[in-house]
Amino acid sequence: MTDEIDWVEINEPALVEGARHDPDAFAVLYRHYLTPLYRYLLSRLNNVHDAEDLTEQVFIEAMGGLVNFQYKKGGCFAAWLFTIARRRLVDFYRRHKDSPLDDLPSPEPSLLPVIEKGEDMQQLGRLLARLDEKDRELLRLRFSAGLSFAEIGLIDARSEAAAKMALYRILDFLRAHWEDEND
Amino acid sequence: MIEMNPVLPPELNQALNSYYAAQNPDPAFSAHLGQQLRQRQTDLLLLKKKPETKRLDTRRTFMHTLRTRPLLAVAAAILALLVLTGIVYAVAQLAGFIPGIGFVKDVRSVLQTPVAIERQVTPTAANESIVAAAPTDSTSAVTSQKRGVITVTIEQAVSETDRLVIAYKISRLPANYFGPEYAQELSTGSQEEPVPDQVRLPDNTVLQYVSGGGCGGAGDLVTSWITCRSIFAPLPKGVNEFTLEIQRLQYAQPGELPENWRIPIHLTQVTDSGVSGGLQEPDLNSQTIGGITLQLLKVSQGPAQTAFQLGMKWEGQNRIVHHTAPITLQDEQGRYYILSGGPDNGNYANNTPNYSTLPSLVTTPVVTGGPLTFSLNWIVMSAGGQAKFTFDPGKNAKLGQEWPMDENITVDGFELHFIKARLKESTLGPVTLEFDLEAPQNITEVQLFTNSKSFASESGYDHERGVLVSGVTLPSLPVQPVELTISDVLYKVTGPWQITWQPQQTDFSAVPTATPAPFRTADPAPTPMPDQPLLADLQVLLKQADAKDPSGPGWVHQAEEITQAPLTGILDNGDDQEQPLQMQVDAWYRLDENGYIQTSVYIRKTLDGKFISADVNNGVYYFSLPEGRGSVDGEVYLEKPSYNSDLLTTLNGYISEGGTIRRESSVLNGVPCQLYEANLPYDPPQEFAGQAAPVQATVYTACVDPVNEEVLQIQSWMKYANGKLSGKDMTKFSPPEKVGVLPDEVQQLLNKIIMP
Repeated sequence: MTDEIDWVEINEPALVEGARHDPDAFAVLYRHYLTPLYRYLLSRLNNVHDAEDLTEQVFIEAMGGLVNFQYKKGGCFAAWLFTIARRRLVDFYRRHKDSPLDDLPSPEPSLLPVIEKGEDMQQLGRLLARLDEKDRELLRLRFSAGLSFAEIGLIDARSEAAAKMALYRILDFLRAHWEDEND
Repeated sequence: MIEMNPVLPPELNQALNSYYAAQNPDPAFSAHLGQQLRQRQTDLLLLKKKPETKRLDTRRTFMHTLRTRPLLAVAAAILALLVLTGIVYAVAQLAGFIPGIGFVKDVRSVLQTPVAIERQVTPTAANESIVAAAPTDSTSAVTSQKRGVITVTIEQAVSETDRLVIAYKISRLPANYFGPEYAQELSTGSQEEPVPDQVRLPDNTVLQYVSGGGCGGAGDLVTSWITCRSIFAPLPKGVNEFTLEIQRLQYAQPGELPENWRIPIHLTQVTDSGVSGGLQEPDLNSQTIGGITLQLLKVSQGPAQTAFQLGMKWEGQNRIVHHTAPITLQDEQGRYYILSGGPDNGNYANNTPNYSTLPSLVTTPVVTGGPLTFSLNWIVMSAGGQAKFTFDPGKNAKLGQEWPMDENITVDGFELHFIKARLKESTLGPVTLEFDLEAPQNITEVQLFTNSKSFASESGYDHERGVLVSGVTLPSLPVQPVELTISDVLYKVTGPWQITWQPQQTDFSAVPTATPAPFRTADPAPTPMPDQPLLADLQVLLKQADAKDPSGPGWVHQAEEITQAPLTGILDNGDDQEQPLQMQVDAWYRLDENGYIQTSVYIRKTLDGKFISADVNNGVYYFSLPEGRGSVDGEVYLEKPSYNSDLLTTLNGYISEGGTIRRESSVLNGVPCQLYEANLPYDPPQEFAGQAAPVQATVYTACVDPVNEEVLQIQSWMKYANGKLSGKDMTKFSPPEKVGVLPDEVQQLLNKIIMP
């Protein structure tokens, strides 16, 4: 894998605490989470301009939230940031699609420019289209955002083990059907 | 590597990663957003700066929190600017600036009278604490007090040809609603998503919500409130009646506060008669320095305020404004107008890459007929170019290892000479690859990245070693050559850029004036934790001292002598002036008859009397020198002076964080005193910026004279994991004394500021 996000142990509690008062400390958090957040939003929106717009909104809200003590000390910053992101995504869909929440559009099947790049991608696109939205969201949180299972668990209100099992189940499905298609 | 189990076929693995993680954000977007966040946070922090801040904490922001965490800070009133600008303000203009709304153009209709709707909170399990803590309505004229009532007030609504903007306020929330106890559910990830506000027209059409608005929370120790600015698609021509629908109030958890609000709004057509404020578009340019020009784009002179929109244009490919010094505004006599941030954000567009508007600025109505001058002292620009180089540490690299280098790299015309590399631990992560550079003097930072494997970089001038330093984190000790990219070179361009603007003569006598400053509520004294008898004893002592303090009304003076321990390894990015380690702080408080501060003035000097800096605060506005920038203060409640640096609150903070406290008899300069010592351990030890080694504990002591009940001296220091101690920060207090006549230097400072 060439362009994945490597998660490095950082002194996040100290950074987050510092970021309440110090633009330099917030800049470190910004640099750390910019790419994962952007990739996640891009995977949901399939439009660079919209992804940039929402990335901006989410960071501004997170920064304000830190300064205003809306982030609970000892919480999980990544889970909080992506919770904000999901709220802003819902706002976005409401504005642009005027559709009920449980009908949130899935961008995956429309990622044709990417899928057209090769047979493997086309095959993956077909498999992803067979997953439900909840499973696709789990893949995005893991692969686009690069979140840990513990962080995904916090966002999805389930245990770390449950998040891990759910993802393994999806990967198992993908593996099995990937091989089926190749047989 | 992302953990994969079950094992996937390599093609599927590759496809998944290409599919989900192929694209990175555009570097220009990343740089601009980073700059925007920095500027916004700087402004927000300026708003928050507390009036009793005597110490300069900009140089030790990480540690300051730990040493002096005030419990009351969580009750801070934030974004008071929105509160102040959210006031109802008659609009009789087609274009101009409207508080809470921003600069407007082509206005068709506006709200003439605010609309308020109140609803009772229905007690449920989700809002038990809200109802219990909700403020009673003591300001209401009604005979019975109401508890658990939430009010939504539409303070302003403006219909323009290209958008509809609605500013509303949610009030009577409990005190400290934005404190950690209420934020808990959000931080652990609530799944319930609120629906954005929407506007429903009489024919049942729904107007789309468009981006650019937002909400801000604020509060004091009695109540909290939220102000929102929602932007929608434009109303159809001729339509002036609609319903604002709010499904769930901002920041509220499901079921916590009344939901599904329907607020009918009726706008009134605007004519071009009776223009108040209006919109001037002076299009004035500063001189061009370093290829950069400051512009004054819009001005609105209203009866309640004057508002400005400035912009910046610059030359050069791959260049962008990173951040700037504060912009100041002075009259012919050199007096400063206090400029606060308005509701309009700055705007940068990729299709006009050498141009950006700045956030709007607001000040009082201009009272002089003479010209006013905007000044901007410096700008930090970012130059991109993505120059790459490789560093080979060999196969057995170790922490602490250093390598001499002699590598020249040119980035966008800037020549950088890399002279040394090292691997070290830092506060950012377990392994930092750091370089020493020689670079042109105006370069303040060189930002490095190593593809996606680094998450943070830091850079700045190391005065101890006389070199520019640039570091980047690595996930682990490198075992092969490291490919590095120089993503940004930040360089400072020194001005000043100046624009002289001639205000128009205006007569606002016929139009309504702004609502006065918000009601300021008294700040109750903190209460020690009940299971800490030592703190209870201390509280008794301090209360006895308080009883002897000078009472109001009038001015009170207190002097402090402050010594700060030197910090190590702090990189200077050139934004803040260097501070001496020892200083004298003279605090002046103008008290009302109840002893609450009306105005505070802090003047900091070196021990030999040389001016360093000053702050002035009148409870609503804040001003500081030498920056020359003021703002709306973030905390609008009244406070009594603390003549002992909020000792009780600080010790409370140590205990609440898990620390311990003890007391012993001691002697300070021959005077017997009771020594209170608080100790806050870290397990495991933590790295902190500016500290020479991992910190095992922070220690805070106060020497209190048991006879006169005065706090004589406060000290704080770090215990390192290696057994050594940091240097000590120390504050010595002199007793407060009442002052009949203000010294000239204080009066002259006050005369320098046009402060409402």
